[in-house]
Amino acid sequence: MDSLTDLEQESIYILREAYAKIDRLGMLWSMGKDSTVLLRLTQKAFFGHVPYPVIHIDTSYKIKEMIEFRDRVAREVGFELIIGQNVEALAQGMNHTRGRLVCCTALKTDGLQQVIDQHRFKAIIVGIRRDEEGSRGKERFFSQRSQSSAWDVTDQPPEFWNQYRTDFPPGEHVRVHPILHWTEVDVWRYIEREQIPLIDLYFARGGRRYRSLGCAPCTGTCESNATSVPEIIQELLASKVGERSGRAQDQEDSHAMEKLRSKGYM
Amino acid sequence: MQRLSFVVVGHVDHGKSTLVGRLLADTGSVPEDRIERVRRICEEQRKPFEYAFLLDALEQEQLQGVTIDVTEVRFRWKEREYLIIDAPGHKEFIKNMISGAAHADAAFLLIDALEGVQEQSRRHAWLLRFLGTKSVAVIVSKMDRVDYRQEVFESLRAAYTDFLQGIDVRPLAFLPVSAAAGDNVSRRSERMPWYGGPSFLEFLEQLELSAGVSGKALRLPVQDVYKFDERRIIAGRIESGTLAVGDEIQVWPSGHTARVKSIEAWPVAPEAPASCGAGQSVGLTLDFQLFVQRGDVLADAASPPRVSSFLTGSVFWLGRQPLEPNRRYRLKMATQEREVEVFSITQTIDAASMDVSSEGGAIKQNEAGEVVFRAVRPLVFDEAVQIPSTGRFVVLDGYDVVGGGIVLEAEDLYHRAYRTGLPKSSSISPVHAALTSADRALAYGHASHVIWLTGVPGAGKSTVARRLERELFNRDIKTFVLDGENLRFGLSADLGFADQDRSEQARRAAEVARLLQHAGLVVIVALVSPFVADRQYARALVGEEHFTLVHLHAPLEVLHRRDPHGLYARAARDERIHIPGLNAPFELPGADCLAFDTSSVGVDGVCDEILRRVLKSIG
Repeated sequence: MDSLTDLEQESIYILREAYAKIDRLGMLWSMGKDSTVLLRLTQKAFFGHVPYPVIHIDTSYKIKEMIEFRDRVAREVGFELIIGQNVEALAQGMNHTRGRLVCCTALKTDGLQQVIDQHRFKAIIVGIRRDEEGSRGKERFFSQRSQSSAWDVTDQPPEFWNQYRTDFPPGEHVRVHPILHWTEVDVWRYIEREQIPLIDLYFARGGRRYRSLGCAPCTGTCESNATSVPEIIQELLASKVGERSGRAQDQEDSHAMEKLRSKGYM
Repeated sequence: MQRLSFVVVGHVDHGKSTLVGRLLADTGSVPEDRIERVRRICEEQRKPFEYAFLLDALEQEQLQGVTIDVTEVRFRWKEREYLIIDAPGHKEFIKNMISGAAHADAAFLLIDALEGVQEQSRRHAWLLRFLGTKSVAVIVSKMDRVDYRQEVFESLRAAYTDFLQGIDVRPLAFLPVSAAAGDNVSRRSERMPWYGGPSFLEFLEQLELSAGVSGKALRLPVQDVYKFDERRIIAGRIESGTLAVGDEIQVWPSGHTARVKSIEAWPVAPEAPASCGAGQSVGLTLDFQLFVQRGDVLADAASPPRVSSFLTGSVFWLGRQPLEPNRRYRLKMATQEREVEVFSITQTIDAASMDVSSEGGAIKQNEAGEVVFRAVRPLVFDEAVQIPSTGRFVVLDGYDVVGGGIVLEAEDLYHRAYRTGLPKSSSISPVHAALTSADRALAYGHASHVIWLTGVPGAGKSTVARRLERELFNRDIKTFVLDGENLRFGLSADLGFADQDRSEQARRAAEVARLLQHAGLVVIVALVSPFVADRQYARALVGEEHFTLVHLHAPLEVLHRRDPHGLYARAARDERIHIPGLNAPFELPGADCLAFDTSSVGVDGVCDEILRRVLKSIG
């Protein structure tokens, strides 16, 4: 098997482990490339079915096209879509000018926590990857979280021989990371191979494109002329710039993501 | 593109992260913003540029200057993509080191030229062998700190080679390196002219990727069974072998047989696959509705796996509480999960010094040993050297993984379990008998034997047993029947019909049969004995040459009609009544038995055939 198929097959194995072992399971979908690949892997793992709800945490600041794309794909594929929003924080006027880390924590971390509590989810499938940034590099495929979603990064369970920690005490939940071992280029190669429809924002218009998608105020574009998936792959192979360099919250502090994530950020 | 993963292990502070960071920087593999971030952090901390920070991303790691958890980084070089796994060297983080090293194609053991071989240098080497890492090489780091002197390198090489040989690890090479100064990392160093070998990067380029050995034997541990639509899809990953539509497969531990009707996939275009192989997560349907569940293992008929309640493994222990005899744990093996009890500890190994002790006792955290486990229900497995992925397991205590193990040779399992484990008291020793089996055989005119009749209720065991007893008696052969039903009035009066009670009943019958067999009798056991492991136990206890297993069976409607104890009628009224083969497990014997359908052969025919065999054996 080629390396892309190896990655695909292992991800499918992980999705099936999660589904077999954990009752209340949901999958985060940001409409970005990674979680859209995750959606495709789900369909492959379960023979065309999406057997768990798909969750979008809507900060209300998402780029307009993302919401259109969300509703169209949800209709076409046909799955249960849960839209979570920290209504209370928004009512009090939360936005990035109050501090990016504060805003991310309120609208994304807390927004997700509300969905987990409301639907009593025991596990959330998330499309993060080890090569995105340092603290994600330390993640496990099955990563436990306390009741309040806290992540104790310095004391994680061992994970080897395809044995994952799928049982946990009441109150805790698990983040499942099926594409943790993929790289950015792997994701694009897979999108190319599988012909997965993506949101237009990833493709260059007027010499700029989005490399990573987030909220409109905090997500920047990068210089690019790549208008197709093969062109993006070529561009990435030559690039020396990090994938999340357009994400403003990462740059707030030397350990911004680790701090965000230890509280329950994706 | 070819992909090769490697792990760098060794004692804490011997420079693993620095080496990897340097390699990444030299090959231009780190995004500029990440280098910039490390530069900023180093300035904040007023230190020179730390290559290790490219990997040790956690704040605590950078403040303390140690790797806490494993990191994976990729880089491309020439025609290959490399996945580097940087594992922590501190003793406290062994579990993280294992998590990283377990999936590496190759491993580099790093040794500080100044400090030499330390505790983790030894423990990590042992762990690599335990994990089954194929290619291992040694890097002697910080050569700049010993002025690049050849004699330092050579004496380290001699000492470590000695140690590695003792634990059966054969390194491919020894490389002298200085990561901080950049010697022999990506370029050959001019400061070590005495060294003629490759740089670290050159070595990686030349490293052959060992082809993933996919065995011939099919092993497909069942992950789940889906019923999303009209199809009943059995899902799992093929760990070994291949599978094609039309293949005959057996489902273990039940041993039932069916054929592969279809291999399912999505999307189906252009057409559904006709075959699949190792490493693939597949879905399939069978031509015959068997009861299949998560934990079962599908195998080809030619190479069945081992099925047993006893398992001997080499174990590495991570738990804070030591592994001790009689303690109960949960064992996970491929997709199986079983409650197990520590039957005996036959060996303990101090993983730092590699000192082996056969005293028994406990296995402490970060140490290793050889352990016999007894499972409540039989496990399906292979020897790890034959098929690694169905020969490995993890041990759980509560929710936590507290150990890993590989299945050692299983051939001798029951004898060893019997010899080493059963007696509760350790102060007993066997009393030698005055008479031998040969003495008795001479006096009685025949050798002794055990005929073990297994089968579901109503299959005809008691009928056949009584007839055999009479026939043997008429031939002047000393004989006795042990009927399961009768044992339950005395010897097994404390037992019910739960799985473990049935196992214990079989064990007692086996022990009594062995005593009577030693006394020179031909013993006939009539017992449901639904589990393969229990029958194997009896066979091993008595000895292959003195043991004949007979499986009696009949179609369900015949069993219902016979219903000698009114069991089937009661089960029809009361769902709490469990009958093996009907609504409780009955594991079919394999090829190691005589099998008769008593509805077609009849008692005479069955007894004639058994007598013919047994009389020949007892001379």
